[in-house]
Amino acid sequence: MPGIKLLTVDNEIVEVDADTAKQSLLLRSMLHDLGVTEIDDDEEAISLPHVTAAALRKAMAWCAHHKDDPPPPEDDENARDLQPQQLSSWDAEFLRMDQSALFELIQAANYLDIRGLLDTACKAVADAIRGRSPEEIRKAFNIRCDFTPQEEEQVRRETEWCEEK
Amino acid sequence: MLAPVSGGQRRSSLRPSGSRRNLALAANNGFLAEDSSAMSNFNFNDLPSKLALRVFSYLSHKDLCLICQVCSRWRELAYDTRLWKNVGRLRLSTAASSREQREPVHRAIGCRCISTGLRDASSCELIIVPVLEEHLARQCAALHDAGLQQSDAAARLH
Repeated sequence: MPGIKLLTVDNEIVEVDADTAKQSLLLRSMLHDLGVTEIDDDEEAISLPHVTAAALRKAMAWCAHHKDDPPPPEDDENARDLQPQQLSSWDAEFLRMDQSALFELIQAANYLDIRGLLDTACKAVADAIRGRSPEEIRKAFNIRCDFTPQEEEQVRRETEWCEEK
Repeated sequence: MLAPVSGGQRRSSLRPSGSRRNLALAANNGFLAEDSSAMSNFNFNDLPSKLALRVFSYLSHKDLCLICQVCSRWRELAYDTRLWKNVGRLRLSTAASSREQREPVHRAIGCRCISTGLRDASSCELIIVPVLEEHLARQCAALHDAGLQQSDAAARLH
């Protein structure tokens, strides 16, 4: 399958396999609209204004690995399973990157419309949040607590009742 | 005092509050590698609300209660009604058994269930308390449209 050229926000041209790229619903419809079928040195690269080259390469690597996956089920937030699901070991290893890169990858997956990757990466972040105390979360994610002590106490009181069945 | 957060509405002033310094999770978590030399500086709070909510949607209600305490943006997001649709799963913990303790709880629940359509209201014992009834009446003039009158809880409420 021929490759296509993509111009990222950090001004890099990244060449990707067209079949792999089509797992991105955005790229799929762009390629369809443009009628791009094969790589051509004169062909202008398709501009992706919201994606860095690093995130694009990562996203395409994920797509290449998951190319035979069944399409993810309809996105229904009501039906989303609340039970934590284990990431595959390949995905867990794939997502071992610094947080900043992971958040960029989430943005890229969202923009490129790659549902499977978006879900997987969001799950990975949720896994990193789950079971931690608020203070541990702040440390882990470098978040400043902007509550006054009184507000913090109030929020704590508001939420101390909660218990899962 | 913090104003109660009503579901679905978000303040326009929500912006990342932490510094943008990159910080990797500790290596011994076995997750999110320790690449502190990375050039980029993307913080969780730089994610748009839609994506942050997507992350939170994988957390249990109990986790959501905990993360409310992280910072004001997380509180706002964690109270988003879309995360509280199955509110019928909630129960009072034994710690909040007296009336005094329950009142803020009822307010908090009220904040969350108002616009969720109360899909599981019949199994939510909290719904029948007067303070919540008042809260519902004040916050939601369109209770009937929300389908509440069809649930057992609503029958007791009226």
